[in-house]
Amino acid sequence: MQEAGDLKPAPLGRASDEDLMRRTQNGDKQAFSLLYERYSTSVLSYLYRMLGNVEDVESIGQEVFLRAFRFAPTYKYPQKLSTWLFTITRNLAINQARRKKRNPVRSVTELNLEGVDASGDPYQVAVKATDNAEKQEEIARMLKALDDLPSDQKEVIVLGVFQDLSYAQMEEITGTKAVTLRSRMFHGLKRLGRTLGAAVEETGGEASE
Amino acid sequence: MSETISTTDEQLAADPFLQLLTDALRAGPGSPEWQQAVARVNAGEKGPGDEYALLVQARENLAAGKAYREVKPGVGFTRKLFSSIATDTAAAKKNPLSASLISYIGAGLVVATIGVILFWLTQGTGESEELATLLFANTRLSTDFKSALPTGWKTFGPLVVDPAKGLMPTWTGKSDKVLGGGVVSTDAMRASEPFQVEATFQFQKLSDDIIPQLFVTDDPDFSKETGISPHELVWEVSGKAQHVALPETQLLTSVSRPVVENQNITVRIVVGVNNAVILSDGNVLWTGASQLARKPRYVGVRLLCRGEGKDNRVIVKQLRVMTK
Repeated sequence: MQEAGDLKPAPLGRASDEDLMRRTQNGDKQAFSLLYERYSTSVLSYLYRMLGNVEDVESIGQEVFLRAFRFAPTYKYPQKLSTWLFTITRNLAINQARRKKRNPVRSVTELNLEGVDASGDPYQVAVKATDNAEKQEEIARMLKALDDLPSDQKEVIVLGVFQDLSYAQMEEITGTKAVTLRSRMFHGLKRLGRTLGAAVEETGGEASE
Repeated sequence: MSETISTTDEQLAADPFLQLLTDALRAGPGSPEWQQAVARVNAGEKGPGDEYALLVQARENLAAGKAYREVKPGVGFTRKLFSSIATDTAAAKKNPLSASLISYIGAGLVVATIGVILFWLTQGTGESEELATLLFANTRLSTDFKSALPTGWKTFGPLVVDPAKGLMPTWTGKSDKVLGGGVVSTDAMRASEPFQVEATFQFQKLSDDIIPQLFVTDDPDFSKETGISPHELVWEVSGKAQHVALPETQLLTSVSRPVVENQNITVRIVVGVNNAVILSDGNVLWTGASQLARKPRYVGVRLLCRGEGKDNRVIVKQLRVMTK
């Protein structure tokens, strides 16, 4: 394994996540800023999808990256950096969700996020995805139904489908066995599939009226 | 639709096709797993085809909607983060200095300690631990909320408060939104001068709908909607828990001292040049970099209310600012 101080003189932009993290462990803020550039959208989008609440995304997002920098020395190669980062993000999101239950009143900070309006509306997302009006309706319905899934099923879909994390990574992040995660993915998508099935029946009914 | 697909963890683990299918469902359209699984479903090799078809369709729709709730950091977000990191790094660099000084103290340089502590307080270096033990003997500002506010204080915020009978809301409306209001000092404390702000809160009844806060701000530009300033160190009680919120992150840190009803709590925020300590009934709740700018500082108490106005569930009994 490469030691923390044993750094290759590679251009930072092309360095691997793990190399950048080793540099960050030595206090290199430029390396950390590249990691931030790579992962900020992913982390913030995960928070937005899981918490569904724009007000929390900014403050938790700040805390995630601040902790990632502060606790960089605790990162151990060969763990994937994305796994390590999403473990921090998930823990903070869970804490925030618990705190929110107890304390729905919160000081709201200014919002410094881009794309909230467009990407938060399932219909706008669907319109950008396809010109087919029927398909647009189906996609929007699916995205709306996602929020109604049980949280464990929603989580595996958000991590696996939207964040592209493998079952092995999700197992490490959530502490849940991969086979259970597969089952949750299966059941979650089955529920979403039923939404489509119901929509087809509904549309059929409307057509006959 | 009939429930015929095997779905228990054991069945999933034992069935190679279900393994392939769940791999495909994660990896999504375009992946080799997807092509294999869909081909087998389309060939009718595995059974209830209509349900598999819906699964596949659901996954395709999710792939098409991948932009759902995708957000990017704005310039302000990035600036704020790296400013916090810079503060953090600066604070970390100061720690070795404190540690070495402590070792000197351990070696017997007791006399020099007094000078060093004084130096820390004036230079803002390694001051956290000392702040909690400093004696603040001079009252700079004080009010016991038994009569009109004395000079040096003013009310603020959209929530109207009565400062003459113990500070409490007098607003009589109803609101689903959070309204804030309170009392803040009009005289600023210099950033270079350590001080302590102390307030006593009486909790008649605990509720999420009324949140008392004690704060120190370096930017007393209070929001017209909530009465919150943009950069403040805050102690508060919400529900039954005491929390601390920092100016930069605005993230609440829950501290492990629950509040009980029909109890008074005296809270002190001791502020140095760079650091601060928050104590509740003499117990240290939090200590660290205050994140306050080296600008004049204003102190105050605020009530954040939602629901019905006028009530006496939480009353502020006194508020004072002390200096050395």
